[in-house]
Amino acid sequence: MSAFDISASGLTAQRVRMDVIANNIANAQTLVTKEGGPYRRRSVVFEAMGRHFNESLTQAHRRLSRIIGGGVKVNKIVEDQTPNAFTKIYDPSHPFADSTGVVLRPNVNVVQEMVDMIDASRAYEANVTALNSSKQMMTKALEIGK
Amino acid sequence: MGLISRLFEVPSTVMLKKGIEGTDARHRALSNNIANVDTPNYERATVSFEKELQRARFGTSFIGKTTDDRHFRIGGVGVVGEVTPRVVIDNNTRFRADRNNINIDEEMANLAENTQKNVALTDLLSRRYKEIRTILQQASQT
Repeated sequence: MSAFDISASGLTAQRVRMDVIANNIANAQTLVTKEGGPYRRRSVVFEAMGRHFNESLTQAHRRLSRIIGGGVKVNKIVEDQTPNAFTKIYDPSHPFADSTGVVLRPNVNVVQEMVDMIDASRAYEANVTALNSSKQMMTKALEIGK
Repeated sequence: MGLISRLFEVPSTVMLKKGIEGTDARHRALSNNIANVDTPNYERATVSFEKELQRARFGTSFIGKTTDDRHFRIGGVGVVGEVTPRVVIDNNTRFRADRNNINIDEEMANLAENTQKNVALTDLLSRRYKEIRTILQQASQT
């Protein structure tokens, strides 16, 4: 696993996270879903990859890359199952109001999603910086003996 | 040792190569730490090689006595070419709710420092080879 692959896996993971956040914001007003009830906010769970062998490397390098690890991946996307988290709005004239006149709205907090998006964006940039450093080092290595 | 290998395998050149090898391993560890900044339960990896290199090159005042060839060497001057970067997983510190111990500011600062170090070492090695080339060219002219 090269440094390029490791940083690329970080970029991919953060991009998936941004997609999920965008989906949450897009569905912040969605009252009906296939599963029934309003939309539930989703979040990603990351998992560290690697710490496994790379057959083409030497013994010492194999040992190193197994311990260092090989990047990150999205393990799963989970729905927020916090009980009673749906916002209750009293609106008896609404078509989705229940017998007591209450409408359930998604448990998406748009402000929290925006903050998460900034976090994902900054983490993405951190991986870009690492990737640029790899490029710089690789370029210098290619200039040896020139 | 032949004349040519005496040109190439001087201790300082081997030190430069080992330095590049070490900074390369550290770069991978830092990249992996940065990629896993949001991974729950991730433990950061650190790479050390400078102290080991220094010890192998210049030795330590503390020298373990050996009475058999199979004994481990403790202290003294080691073989620079045998030093390999050592990866340590930091599982002592925990300060985040998701049990991940990465401090992104520290990782980014280390990344910048390590990249500069690697570039500087690569540059020095490149100059070393240029010197050797000049020596060989001058030798063939005389």
